Amino acid sequence: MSELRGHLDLLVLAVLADAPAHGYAVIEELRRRSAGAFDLPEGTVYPALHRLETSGFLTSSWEAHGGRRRRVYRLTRRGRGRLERGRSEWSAFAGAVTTVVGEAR
Amino acid sequence: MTLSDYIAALAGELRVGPFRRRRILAEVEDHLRASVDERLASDVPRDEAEEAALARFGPAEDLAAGFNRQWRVRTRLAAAAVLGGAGALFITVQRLMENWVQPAPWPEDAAPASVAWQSGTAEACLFAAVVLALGALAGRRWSAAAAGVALVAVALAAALVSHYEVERAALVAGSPTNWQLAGVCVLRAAALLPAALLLVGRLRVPRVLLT
Repeated sequence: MSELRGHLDLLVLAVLADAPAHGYAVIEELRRRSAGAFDLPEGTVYPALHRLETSGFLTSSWEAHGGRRRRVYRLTRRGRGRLERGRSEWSAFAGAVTTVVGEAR
Repeated sequence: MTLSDYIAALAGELRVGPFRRRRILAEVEDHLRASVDERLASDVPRDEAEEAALARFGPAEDLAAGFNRQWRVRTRLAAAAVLGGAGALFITVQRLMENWVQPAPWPEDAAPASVAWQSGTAEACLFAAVVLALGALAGRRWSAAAAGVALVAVALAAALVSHYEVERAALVAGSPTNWQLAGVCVLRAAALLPAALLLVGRLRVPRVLLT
């Protein structure tokens, strides 16, 4: 799972592109979308969320849910731009690697 | 380890500012409680539910290290800028008042001995604070101690400068009143507060104070 860490920011931005969410929901959604392949320690997501917020890619606020206060994160316009750039870079990179390594036969 | 033990351990490992610390601990606790509640709903006993939730969450040391790395860079830059700026401003203002603003405050250009040592000590403190702050920001090994001493030095310098201003005002006609000077002291303290909070984030808080 260590190779995943370099891409965690992009994955978190992609999860939050659909809807605002709190940390617990982000890690659950990452696990669900990857069919369990991205099974990181749940705490890993919080430094990434704080880093992305400091960089201006996310905003956050406390919201009440079922009698409990939760910090909910949402993508900013800048974050959406970063996600689009990240998607393009990832597609180009993945395509190039696939070309060199070759498709599974 | 219980959920409360984990939160206390994380609090002890975090080297961030007080506001950030409170937010991180609240977020983590909310996450863990939700995770435990989910297991309790499936009839898992509480101690097993807490153990499983903590195992899924990851070690407190690793989590704290992730936050500390981010905070270190911001703290170093911000504290250096605030402390350096405050030190330079204090020294400049004092020099301006002593040498260029007329009339000269002291008879025959000779400041009383008490004023001389106070202003000299204040300047030395400010200079030391700036050097210590930069040292704290550059290194790791002694950074917490250096940051703490820098903070004390700045506070001492601010107190000495304030006292100096009161003495000077008593001797020079048309000087600000003590109330006005007190207002300046409050503003000075408010200006130093961001640096103080940033530096407190660099100090090692004894775990017993956080539990």
